[in-house]
Amino acid sequence: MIKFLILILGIVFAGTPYNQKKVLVLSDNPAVYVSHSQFFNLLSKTYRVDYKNIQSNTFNLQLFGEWQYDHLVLFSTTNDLKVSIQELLDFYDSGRNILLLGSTDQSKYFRKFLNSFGLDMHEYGSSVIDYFNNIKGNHNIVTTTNVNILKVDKPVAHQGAGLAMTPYETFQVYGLVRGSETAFSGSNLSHNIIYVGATQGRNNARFVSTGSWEILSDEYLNNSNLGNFELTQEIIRWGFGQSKILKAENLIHRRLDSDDIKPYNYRLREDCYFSIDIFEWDYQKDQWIPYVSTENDVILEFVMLDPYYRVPLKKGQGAKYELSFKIPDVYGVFQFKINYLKPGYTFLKIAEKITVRPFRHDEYGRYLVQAYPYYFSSFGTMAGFVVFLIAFLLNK
Amino acid sequence: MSDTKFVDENSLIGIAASFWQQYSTKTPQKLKIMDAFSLYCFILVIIQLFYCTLVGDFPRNSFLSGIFAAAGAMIINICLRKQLNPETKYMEISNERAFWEYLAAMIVLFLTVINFLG
Repeated sequence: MIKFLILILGIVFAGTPYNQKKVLVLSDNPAVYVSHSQFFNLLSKTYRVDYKNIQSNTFNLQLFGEWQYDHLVLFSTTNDLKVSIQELLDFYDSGRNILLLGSTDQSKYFRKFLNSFGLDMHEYGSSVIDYFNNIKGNHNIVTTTNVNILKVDKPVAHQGAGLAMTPYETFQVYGLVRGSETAFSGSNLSHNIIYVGATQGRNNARFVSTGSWEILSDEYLNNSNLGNFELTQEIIRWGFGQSKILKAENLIHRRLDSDDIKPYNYRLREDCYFSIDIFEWDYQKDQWIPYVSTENDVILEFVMLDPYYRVPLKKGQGAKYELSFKIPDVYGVFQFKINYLKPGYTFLKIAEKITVRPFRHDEYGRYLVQAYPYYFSSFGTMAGFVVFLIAFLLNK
Repeated sequence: MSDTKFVDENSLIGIAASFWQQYSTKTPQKLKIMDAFSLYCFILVIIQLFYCTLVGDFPRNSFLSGIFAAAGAMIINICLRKQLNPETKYMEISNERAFWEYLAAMIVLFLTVINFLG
């Protein structure tokens, strides 16, 4: 009876807010709750939001070793946070996501925190200026259409300082919204200015940081000519782990002509078949759908200290990516490796070990044409020996 | 000796000619048959080495067994020849015993060769 009640309660509460993830919003300025009301509306639709003041003592990120929140939204201030940078980095290391809304006058604490993620804030009091792509001639409010990874159609407005990063994007740090070609800020030029930067750690936790608060504030979100509303939705989805999440499972390797999955060992020069299912999370349908990679770029490596093969997998039916190839003429312990580091998607790192044995004593080729002289000479000596015996023994 | 010599003794051709003359007159028939067999095996070794430098020794087992068949037969033959010649006999064994040992060695050699031929 009790079990039945618990079951019913479980079913009832499965879809309710009690199952949603918790987001902690920390800010210093109560005016933020008014000026960013749309942003918080969007957040509350899918998450349980806790609003706390940065300086208050009433919240704990960690309680008895367990993290109390799943994601974190930080509004930067001129003061330091009660929580140490190391604890925030531990929060990130545990796989939880952080969204940092910066401002040009944020304290050194936040600048140092930003540096841990490969991004850097412009100097105090600076702001991005663009005389060509701006709103209503106000060259401080700049727009850009240079948006990567997120899907935003209209130009995005930004006001305030920008972020900086190395000029090229690594597989972990990207600029989601970059400045247009005519933007500059102090001595930084357009290709170095980032309005919204992101870092995805090796544990697939995501960190998004904007250069200023205003990019997510109501006055831009309500403006239907601008893409800020879509940008906010996309940032919430991507930054908190709902879109572009990949999952790989069902790894199969077998000999091409047999059905035993994952045999004990392979032999040199055998045909081998490898397949894996890759799924992507679809937040609209709330399920895993097959991942379609447009550029044929899921690459399989067949490695023993050096890669012997590095071939893209072919897309099969459904979510299957498969390949059949011939094992090389070398024996040893090999690994099937997939190292899929596409910007914006979670990292897929898969390694599966197999052994390849040399030929057995009776598996070598027989009666090779190349060895005919040796066969002839061996039997030739025996024939010659017989002839010799006859001649020797019958001689007087 | 009062044999007439038509060739100069000290040149290379002279040495070869006098060797050949001594060999064909002095050695008994049986030893000549054994020498013929040894020469045959030696030629086989040369042919196989020549083939190996041309094409390479890919089936290594077959290469080794072919060479060892010919070279081993030659060596065992030479051992028997030494035993049968009273000047070069090196152990106090009768001729028949030497011959049985020769047969045993050849059988072992051929068994090994057939096993290793691959």
